[in-house]
Amino acid sequence: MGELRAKWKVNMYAWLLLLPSLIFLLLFTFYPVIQTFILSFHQADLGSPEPFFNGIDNYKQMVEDEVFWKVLTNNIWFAIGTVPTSVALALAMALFANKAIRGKSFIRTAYFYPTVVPMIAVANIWLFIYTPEYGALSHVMEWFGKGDMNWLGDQKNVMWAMIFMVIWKEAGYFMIFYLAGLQNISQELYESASMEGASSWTVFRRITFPLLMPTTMFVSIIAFTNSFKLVDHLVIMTKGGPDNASNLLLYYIYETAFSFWDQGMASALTIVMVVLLLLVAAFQFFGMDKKIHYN
Amino acid sequence: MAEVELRRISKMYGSQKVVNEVSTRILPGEFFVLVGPSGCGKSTTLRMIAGLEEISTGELLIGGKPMNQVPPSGRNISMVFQNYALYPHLTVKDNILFGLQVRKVDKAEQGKRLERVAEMLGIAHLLQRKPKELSGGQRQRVALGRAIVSQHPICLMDEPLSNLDAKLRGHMRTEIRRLQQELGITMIYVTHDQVEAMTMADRMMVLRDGEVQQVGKPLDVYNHPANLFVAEFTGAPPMNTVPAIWLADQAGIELAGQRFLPLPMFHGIKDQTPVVLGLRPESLQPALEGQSMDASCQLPVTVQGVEILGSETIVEFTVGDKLWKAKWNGQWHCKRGETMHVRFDPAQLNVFDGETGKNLAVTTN
Ligand SMILES: Nc1ncnc2c1ncn2[C@@H]1O[C@H](COP(=O)(O)OP(=O)(O)OP(=O)(O)O)[C@@H](O)[C@H]1O
Ligand SMILES: [Mg+2]
Repeated sequence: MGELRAKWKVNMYAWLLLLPSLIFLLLFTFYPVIQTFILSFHQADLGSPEPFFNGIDNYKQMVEDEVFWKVLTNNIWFAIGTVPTSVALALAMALFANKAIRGKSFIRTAYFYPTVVPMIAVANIWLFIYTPEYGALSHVMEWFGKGDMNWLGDQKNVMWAMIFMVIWKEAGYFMIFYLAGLQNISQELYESASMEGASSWTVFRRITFPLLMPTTMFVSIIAFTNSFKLVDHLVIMTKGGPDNASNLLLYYIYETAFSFWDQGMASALTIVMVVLLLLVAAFQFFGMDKKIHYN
Repeated sequence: MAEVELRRISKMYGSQKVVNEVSTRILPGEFFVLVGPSGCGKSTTLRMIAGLEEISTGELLIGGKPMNQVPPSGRNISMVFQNYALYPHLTVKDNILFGLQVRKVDKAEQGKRLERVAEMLGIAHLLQRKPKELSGGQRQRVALGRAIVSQHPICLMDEPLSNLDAKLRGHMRTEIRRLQQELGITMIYVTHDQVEAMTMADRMMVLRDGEVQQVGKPLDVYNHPANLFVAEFTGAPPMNTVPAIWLADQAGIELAGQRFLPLPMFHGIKDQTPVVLGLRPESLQPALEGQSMDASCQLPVTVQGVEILGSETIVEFTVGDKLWKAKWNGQWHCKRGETMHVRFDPAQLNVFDGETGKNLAVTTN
């Protein structure tokens, strides 16, 4: 009896300590998700003064919506284009920055710089770079005698332009994680390998890369989520155009909710995105976790 | 031939000289210990031999060949690191075989060597484990295994036992020594623990602030320390010392203005030279009543403290203004403040120069 009470007391204490963060988690994460989930089964657009239940109509409409499929394919290509490249680039930059003896901190800062510049400023810088005729890139192209290209205005080019910019922006950020990961690898391991005469490629393949796997895993999940979260650059640079060629899922949700004012549909789209992200995270986490060495 | 020769090797970090003109010759099959207090340059010296650190000036020869420009892998050396440097993501087996795999040794040969090493070290049942699933002693064995499996004739170790508890350390000491003798490898072993040096070494080199103090067999170093530093570094408790004045005409010593010991076996010391007298704790024995002894080698002392360790007793008293310790076999129930006589054999006395600290009786080899 007394034991039970003591246990209850301990539990109570734990819950009380958790309470503040739990309240915020419930209020700002779980509650909105549930609300969105409920709303996705309602019609809630400008034509309906009060939201009313319409079953899976929103989802049906979504499946028939060409733009939705276009945006989804765009986003998948966008993820394929940005995630592996930015992660690999981040790793390469971290290896280099870690090795550089002279100007170590300068190189780190230079690499990290794109990350600390505000999004809007980044978008403006790249808007200038990509501007046809008098933009920076056009000038460079002219020197090489190539014709002028409309990077953001052309359906074929716009996605590449966005992918390139995002890689530029994210690689420096991911590099910081890799740098931290590299610092955690004991120097003795490398000295031991050098006593054996291992080439730098062998050292990378058999020591550095496997030991950085936890970082790679973490960074890829972040990179993947980020590729679905991009919105601000689109607002400034392309508005998803031309003809939805650079439209991505989150921007489409934003448009649906706040330009077309179709809350029900936007909710349904949001649920699709959340499920998609969860699936990928779960796959990476459970599928690859066993192969990774954690300290 | 696995002979290692250091010729006036120095290491500079910027303008700071951390290893100063170290010269020595380490013979094939020898267990050579580098010993000294923390920061004296032991690791730096060892790492220069390994090739992990550049040699600033001087020459390193292995088997008679100059090695200064040869990368670590070309020096026929294996090394055991202080923290073992096991690859945390590889199994014990892969850790041991890493070097052989890198050097593309034949698979069948790899298996044979692995089996032999695992048996030799008693780690056959651990081969599939990861390092974090091993105890400290087991990790140590794996690290040893990795060094042995390469079959290099020279092995370097940097404080390999410092992460183990006292009992295991004693055990591994004998084991490393046994392995070294069985395999006939040349061992260069770094430690700051003089007990390890005394018990394991064929020869030891005492370093201080990057300078060689003495090289020799452990007992020679112990019995005839080249200078005060070596005298006080070796032995537990270390050698007792006290400043005194040399009186040449009487071939004796004035100690703190009162004591007088004729010491005819020291010659050629100038009159009135300030010297330091040194005596090992076990050289001081109680002078029992009725024992006829040369009175000159007796000291009346007042007991300041007693530590009874079971098999031996450590008695403390002051001589001059220094606290001395004497180590006696058995259990002695002395009281604090009790006066008694201690005696010693003048042959065991060391006399050091008061200024340079040099042993006035021994010439450094
Ligand atoms: N990279 C470096 N730059 C400058 N000074 C260094 C460097 N590495 C070592 N030192 C200095 O060189 C001296 C010798 O260092 P070393 O590591 O050889 O000492 P040690 O005898 O191995 O000591 P310990 O028993 O503490 O390991 C120390 O004074 C140390 O501060
Ligand atoms: Mg050291």
